[in-house]
Amino acid sequence: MIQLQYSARVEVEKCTGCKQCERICPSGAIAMIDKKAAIDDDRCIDCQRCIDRCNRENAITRVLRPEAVIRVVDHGDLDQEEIQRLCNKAGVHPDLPICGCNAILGKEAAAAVLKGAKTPEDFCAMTGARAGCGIYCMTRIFQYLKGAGIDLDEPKDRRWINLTLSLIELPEDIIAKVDTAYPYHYLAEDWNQQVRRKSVSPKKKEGADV
Amino acid sequence: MYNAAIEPPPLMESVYGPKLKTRAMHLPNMVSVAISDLFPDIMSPIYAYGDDLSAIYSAAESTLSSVDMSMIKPDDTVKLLSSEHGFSIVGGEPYVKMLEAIKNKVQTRTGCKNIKLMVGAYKGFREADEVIDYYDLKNRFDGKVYGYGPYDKDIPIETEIGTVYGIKKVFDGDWFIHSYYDDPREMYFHRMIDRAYKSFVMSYARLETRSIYHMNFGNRSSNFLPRAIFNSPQVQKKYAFSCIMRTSPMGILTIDADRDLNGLNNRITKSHLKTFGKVMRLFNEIDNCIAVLDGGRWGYYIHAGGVIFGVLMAVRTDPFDLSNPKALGGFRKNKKGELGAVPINPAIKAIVMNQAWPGINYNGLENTPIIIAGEDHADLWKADHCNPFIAKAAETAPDLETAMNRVYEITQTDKVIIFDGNFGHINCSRSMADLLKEKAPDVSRKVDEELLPMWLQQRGIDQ
Repeated sequence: MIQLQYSARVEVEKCTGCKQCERICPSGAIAMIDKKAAIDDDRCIDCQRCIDRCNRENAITRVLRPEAVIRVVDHGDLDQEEIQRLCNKAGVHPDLPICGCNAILGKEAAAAVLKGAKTPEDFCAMTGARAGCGIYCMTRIFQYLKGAGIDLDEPKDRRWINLTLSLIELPEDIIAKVDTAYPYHYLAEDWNQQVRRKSVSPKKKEGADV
Repeated sequence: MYNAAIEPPPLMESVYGPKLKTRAMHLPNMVSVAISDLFPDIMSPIYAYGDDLSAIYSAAESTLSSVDMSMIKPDDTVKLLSSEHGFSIVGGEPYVKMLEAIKNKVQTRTGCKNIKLMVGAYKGFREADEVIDYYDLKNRFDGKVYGYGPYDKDIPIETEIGTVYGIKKVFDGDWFIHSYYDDPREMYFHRMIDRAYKSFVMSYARLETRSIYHMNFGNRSSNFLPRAIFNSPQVQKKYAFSCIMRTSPMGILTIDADRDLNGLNNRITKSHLKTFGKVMRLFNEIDNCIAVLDGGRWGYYIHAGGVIFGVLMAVRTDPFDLSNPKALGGFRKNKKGELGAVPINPAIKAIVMNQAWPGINYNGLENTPIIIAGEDHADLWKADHCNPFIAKAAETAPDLETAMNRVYEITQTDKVIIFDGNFGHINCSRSMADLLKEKAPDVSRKVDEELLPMWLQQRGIDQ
């Protein structure tokens, strides 16, 4: 969930059509029309990354929307078991935020994918993910899309790379090898703990620290 | 008797922060407590403040004299890799001085002239440009200065636990020099494991790699990832040596250079556990306080006595004790059964933001009053989607004095600690200085006799 009071606005006369803003936009809100950047307010999440990126021409500014908008994906009308299944596949608790910045819960993230997000850009436009730091939730987005069986074609301009490498997915022999060589990183103990946690039913898992 | 509050390092104005304001040290009745008075056994630094940086340059020259540079040939291209937080440590000039010394020494010893200073950023596209201008780096590095950040073109790096992605222009020279600092930041989060390696998974890495490092490992095991990147054949093939600005709560301890990064890392870890460990455990003794953020760059990372504000937020457990798998907040259920972020250290009764950049998330602030000084400053925080809670809940005061009067009223405490970038001493109220002085001897004894032996033993460096 994100509350949006602002949107980005291109000053067309300053825009050189360099496409840098298009590449950096996490929500796919920028397209080039007649060689000038154009913002889709319905997708803009006010992350201000395009404003920051346009550091030569300064052609993009932040403007108040006519009315504040709340971008949230309702999960209440979906099958809760399906949400739980997708959260399990993504490795995220449904009642926990997918990252520190925004209060986008695991179940909202699942709902975004179940309601049609097919790319990281769709996911961000629907939920407001990546409007904050823009960095740490990246793998969570890929995990949800992967959990739903969506194969992502990585963009040629490498605006994102589908990376979901995680401790829990490492093979046991690699864990054992690294743990022997570097015992002070506690890979085996952390790995065992995460494997154990995953094997506990969702209901039992709730409570205490997660 | 205490000294008057001491002028903190100067700040750089930035598009990411508020207009520069009068420093919090000028608040009435603030004093300075010296780290050397609290912990006389912490070694004197070679630099803590002032214009004379000659000791930094000499220390760098001296340590670099004994490092093997024979791999670098006159026609080679060498990337001198700098990272963002170095420019936050005691005002940033010591770090720049070390970088200059490295460039000059490599030129003198190898005949190589093509040394490119790479200026790392956290996330903003204007960060590096601002740093380059502020420190006049183009002039000081013969025009060969380049910014880099997490969105730059990637290079896949094959590690023993899988493929991750680094920044191509960081690793595309013939050689790189890991020109770092010992990262005295989130001591709770990184558990004091492998501080010397961290930039391999942050500054030098793409955003996706930074993401898995933060989200997909435990807070002990995540520290293997930068080591795995460093150990990868691709990175090793380009690695020349490391030169690290080492710190203690007193200031810049020394400059340490070595090709053996593991050895360097062990020296840092031992020193950090003993020195930062004491100040950190002392912060745990603070029973109630008002924390004032008054520095450049991100508020979370502003130092007081060398220790960042983020550490005070999370100091209730002992994060150096590796037998505890989970030493930072995380989330838990409240009495109503709702999951929420674990609140920050309850001793922090209020936070006053005099000047600090937004852009980094603070979790667990729901029960802590926050007052932001200055309308322009508050506007920045209200625009910050990293902290929607702060935008909603923080009060705004027209200036610092009004903000302080408000928090004195709310908290009924006069214990104030100012995070203003200082190493070597802590600017604070007299009552806070009294508390720190009273508690320090017991903390020192406990660390020396009980905690330090355990911390060292847990990391295999107790011999």
